Amino acid sequence: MTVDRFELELYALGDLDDPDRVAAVEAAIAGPMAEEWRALNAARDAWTAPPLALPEPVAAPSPTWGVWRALALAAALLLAVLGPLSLRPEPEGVRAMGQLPVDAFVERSGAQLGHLRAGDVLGVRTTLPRAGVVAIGLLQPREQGAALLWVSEPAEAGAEVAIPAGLELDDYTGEEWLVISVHAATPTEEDWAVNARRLVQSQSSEGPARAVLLRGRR
Amino acid sequence: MKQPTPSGRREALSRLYDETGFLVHRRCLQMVGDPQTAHDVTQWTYLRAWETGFEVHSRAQALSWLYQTATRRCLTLLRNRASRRNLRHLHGELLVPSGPADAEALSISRQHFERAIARLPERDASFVLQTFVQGDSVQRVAEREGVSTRTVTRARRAFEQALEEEA
Repeated sequence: MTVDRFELELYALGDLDDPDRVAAVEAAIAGPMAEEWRALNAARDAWTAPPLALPEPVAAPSPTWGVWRALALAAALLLAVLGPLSLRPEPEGVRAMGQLPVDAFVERSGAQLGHLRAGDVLGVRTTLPRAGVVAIGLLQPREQGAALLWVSEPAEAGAEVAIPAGLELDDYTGEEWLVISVHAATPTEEDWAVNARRLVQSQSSEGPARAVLLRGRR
Repeated sequence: MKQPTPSGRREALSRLYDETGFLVHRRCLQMVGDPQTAHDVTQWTYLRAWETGFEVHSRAQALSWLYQTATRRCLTLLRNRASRRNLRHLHGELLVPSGPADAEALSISRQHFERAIARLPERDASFVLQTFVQGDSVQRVAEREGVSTRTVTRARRAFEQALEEEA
């Protein structure tokens, strides 16, 4: 394995323990990565870290009106995706997860929520109805875009699973579907995209109501 | 296993920021090309670690998480720029002036780069940023992201094709 930048950085931090890898990094520093090493040290010397202001830890949110309002609005968005799925015939080989209990929350400077807008962070958590992994991805039906964003670690039935960093909304203006699904094992992106697309197509072709709800910006 | 106290976690994260902030900032700078934005993303990334309850077990483990999170944030910014068609005009600027060899060899303008990135699925774009821009090996990124090297390589090829089409 050749030396890459991550290994060089670990070496710079003194965190590289394997003598063989240390030797490899030092050889690289003396040769092809000399310039990268110089730039790395220059960046360290020039780094003037602005203070990191970590807020006080927040306990589990109490069910205040603001929180519930945030939950309600985001849940409405998600239910718009998930709710109708259980009412419609599912494509062959794909099981819609309309019964998956999902709640969601939106961060915006701590509280206060109006309409969803770019920069909002959408948190998603669910409780697994059976053992497996939770996959979260986005589909842009008109542009044929599909991105599997996150897959959880395998967990047992009843486990609560939450996407760790949330989904940040950008100012994309097309129709976009957030698809949350449970799989017995980690799906490949290709498999996920094929099934998610079939699932969304089966739902979006029958009426405009959901499309209106879902045509918001991610 | 004993859970770290909030104050212990705060100290660990603050120390991590002091020790490794320059690394995250440097990668962000190479992705977004603007020092202030890179500072903002760097701070945001450590704040996310705090907010999401991330626990520091080792600097290597923490750096992997921080790089993934910062990359996603930068990617959002890059895609926003492209989607708004509000790209900065940095003609002639190399993608990574002091970066890894293959990125330098691309010798493309940031505008082309951002347009090409915006055309990729999010996960593929993240692989491209981590390899082409940040200089991590394909194998490293594959391990970090839990995918095969083939998947990462495929994303890189898709990016190269998108670049050609944007040129």
